Amino acid sequence: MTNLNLKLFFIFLFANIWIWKILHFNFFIFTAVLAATFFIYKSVKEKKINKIFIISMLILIAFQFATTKTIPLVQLGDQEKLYQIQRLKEYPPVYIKIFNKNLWIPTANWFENKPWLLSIYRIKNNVSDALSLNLYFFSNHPNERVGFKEFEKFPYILLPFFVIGFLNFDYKKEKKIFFLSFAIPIFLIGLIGQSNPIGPFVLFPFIFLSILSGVKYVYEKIKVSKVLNERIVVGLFIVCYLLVFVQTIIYATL
Amino acid sequence: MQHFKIKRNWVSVLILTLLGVIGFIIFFVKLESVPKGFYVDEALHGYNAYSILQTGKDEYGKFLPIVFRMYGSYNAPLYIYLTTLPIKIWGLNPYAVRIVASLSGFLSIFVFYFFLKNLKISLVGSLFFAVTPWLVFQSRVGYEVSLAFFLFCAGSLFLWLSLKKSIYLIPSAVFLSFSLYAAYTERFIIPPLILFFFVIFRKKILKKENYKNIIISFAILFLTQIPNLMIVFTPAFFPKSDLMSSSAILSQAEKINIFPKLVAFVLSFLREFLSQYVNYFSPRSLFLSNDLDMPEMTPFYVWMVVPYLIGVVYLWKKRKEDYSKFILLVLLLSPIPAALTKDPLSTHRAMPVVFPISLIIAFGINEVMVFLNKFKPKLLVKSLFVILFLFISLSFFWRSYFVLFINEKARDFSFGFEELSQLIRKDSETHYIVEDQRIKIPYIELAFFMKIDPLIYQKNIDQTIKYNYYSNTKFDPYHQFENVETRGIIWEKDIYKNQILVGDELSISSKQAKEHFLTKVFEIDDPIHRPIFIGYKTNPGLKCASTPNKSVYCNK
Repeated sequence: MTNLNLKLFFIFLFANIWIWKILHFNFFIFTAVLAATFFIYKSVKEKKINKIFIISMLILIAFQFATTKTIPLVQLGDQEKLYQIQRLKEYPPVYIKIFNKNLWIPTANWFENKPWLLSIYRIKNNVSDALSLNLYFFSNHPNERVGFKEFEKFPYILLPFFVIGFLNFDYKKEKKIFFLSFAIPIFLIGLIGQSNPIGPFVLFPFIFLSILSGVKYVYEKIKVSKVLNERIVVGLFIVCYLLVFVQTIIYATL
Repeated sequence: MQHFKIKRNWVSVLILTLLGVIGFIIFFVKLESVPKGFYVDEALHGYNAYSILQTGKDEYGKFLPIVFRMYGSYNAPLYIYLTTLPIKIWGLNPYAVRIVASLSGFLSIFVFYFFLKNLKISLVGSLFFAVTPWLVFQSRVGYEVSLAFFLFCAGSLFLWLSLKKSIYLIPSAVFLSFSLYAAYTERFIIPPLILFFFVIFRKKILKKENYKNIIISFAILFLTQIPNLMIVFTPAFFPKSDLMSSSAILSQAEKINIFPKLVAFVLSFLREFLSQYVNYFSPRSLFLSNDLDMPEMTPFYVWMVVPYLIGVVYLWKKRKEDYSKFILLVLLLSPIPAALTKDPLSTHRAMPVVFPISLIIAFGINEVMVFLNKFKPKLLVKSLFVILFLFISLSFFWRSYFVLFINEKARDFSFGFEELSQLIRKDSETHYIVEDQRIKIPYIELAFFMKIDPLIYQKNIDQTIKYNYYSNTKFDPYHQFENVETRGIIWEKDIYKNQILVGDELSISSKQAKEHFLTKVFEIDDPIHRPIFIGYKTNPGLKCASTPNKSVYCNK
């Protein structure tokens, strides 16, 4: 984790569609994403949280909030209101008998009509796509959403590296980085929703960092392997990466 | 140490008792009426079991089939054969058809308990496993997946135990082999599971002193698979190939035609397969999205996403340990068959995934329990945690399953056939046509609820089917027994006969009813008052009298 190669950093940073979509959408967000990504990498490398990383993450959080079309957590749409009315009628009467007296429990009201519970349902729905691996690596296939223009944020060949990087992350030592780059953004998305033309870009630095550390981990394993030839494996990987990258670009432009 | 052992035993007994009580309530209570309705697959399994019980033959008159022919496909046989016993005891009704599934789900929770006990981690995980929505939902429906799941779990448990005592290979072989007769998914999982198990744990298992048990278990596997081997080259062995996402792959391959065809195909296959495969591990699909048939319910409870992530990280850190290797092996293999199909998240086909995912969650819960040890009094804090999360989980399960599901999804579960069958039975002098274009495979539901004598039923079926049973996949939806026919309505003909036409609100519109002088004689609604079946009585006399150009059927 500490000897991440700067070359790898820049190659993978620009060899994905997401970063170019962000640039196309807004130059300032692009700059903030680059800064946050570089300084998260630096913070992990130096095992010390960098101030610019904190500032750039806060700016990214603000940008995410500003560019997302938010829906109030307890406001129901017309269809949802109809559902609510229907569902309130579906509950059976629930009561407990205490000393020959019935203590009625308003379960329908509790489950269907409490604003705090409605907001929890909404937060759950908001968070769901942000925690979908398919959103980042398969343009959300097979869970495509109505009204969203999905695109492949990273080539799917990077998925195993992301998983390895995510699992290797030192959550105890780097918990501040984890909270700032993953937990807080997820919480924010839960509150404001997903309706953003370039997706949850506030998570870009963390996802990118995980991919990069996964690549580094696998590369080091190959280097010390007695069975695998480093040059052949790297060459094969580059060929596969290019093929998949071209494939994702074609799908994105169709 | 002794004190610890006694305490641990006391806790084990308490959890085992709780498992029994919670399991009994959640798997068996109101089984006859919840789910409301009786799903078409349940009716197929139930009526075929009834037919086997009465005549030794299935609905097509085939004597003790190896797989069961069902509307153009084939289903694994074990569930049907086992269901003959409850039908013998309780008669032909939904409870008798569902009991094998719910009993399998109930037994699975004890298999899970013993797995956790063997892994020496907190047994609390088994309590949460017992109330897992995915498991409970599939275990209360009378078809094969829950049975296959139980056999798969039990076989996996013994396979794991065989690393310590090779004698366990024998029960493992029995359970795993029988799981291949319970559901098709297992056919794609068990062979690679056994193969990779022997490869990964070769140093531990391939020892001279184990050879005897290895040979016996492989002999059991081979002998018990002879029936399957007999049909391996027939269409009946791989009946679900049409479910594979081949058309999606080909259309995706066409889009990247700058590559040679083979490269384009491989790339689009990889993308399609991996996207489906990854979906089975994604927190979104497992914990946050309502992909189960239950309204507002996720396959696992939302809060379980936290122990899941903790458990995954924990197992990865311990990846050199045998238990991690074993769980990761099961985890990586179990979604493969479901990922090969085009459905986004098939909880039916991907049922084996529940086992390794639940084990991961149990490891996460164990870590939480270790963390809670910091707070005193330990027992009280941990008990409060368990009670609170069990209460939250069960409350939301009750809301989704026992309130919303039974009302909103009754229609999808073929609600209304019991009432329709009673109406038809009562009115035995009238001929009924039940429309089958919009109503899903009505013949088997009617045969089930009308308790049609299998001998009479088999006589009305194409008699040639039983002779090329395993290769004849053509399905004829037309069925006729007693005073019922199931087929599409032939408007030029059916309205000139005195009979009752049964359809839903779209198969016979009010305009058609008016035009053809049909009189509405009954309507069967679902629990939230949406019409499911509407019966119209024809009036040939009036129809003929009012039509200037008389139909040829007016004179008949």
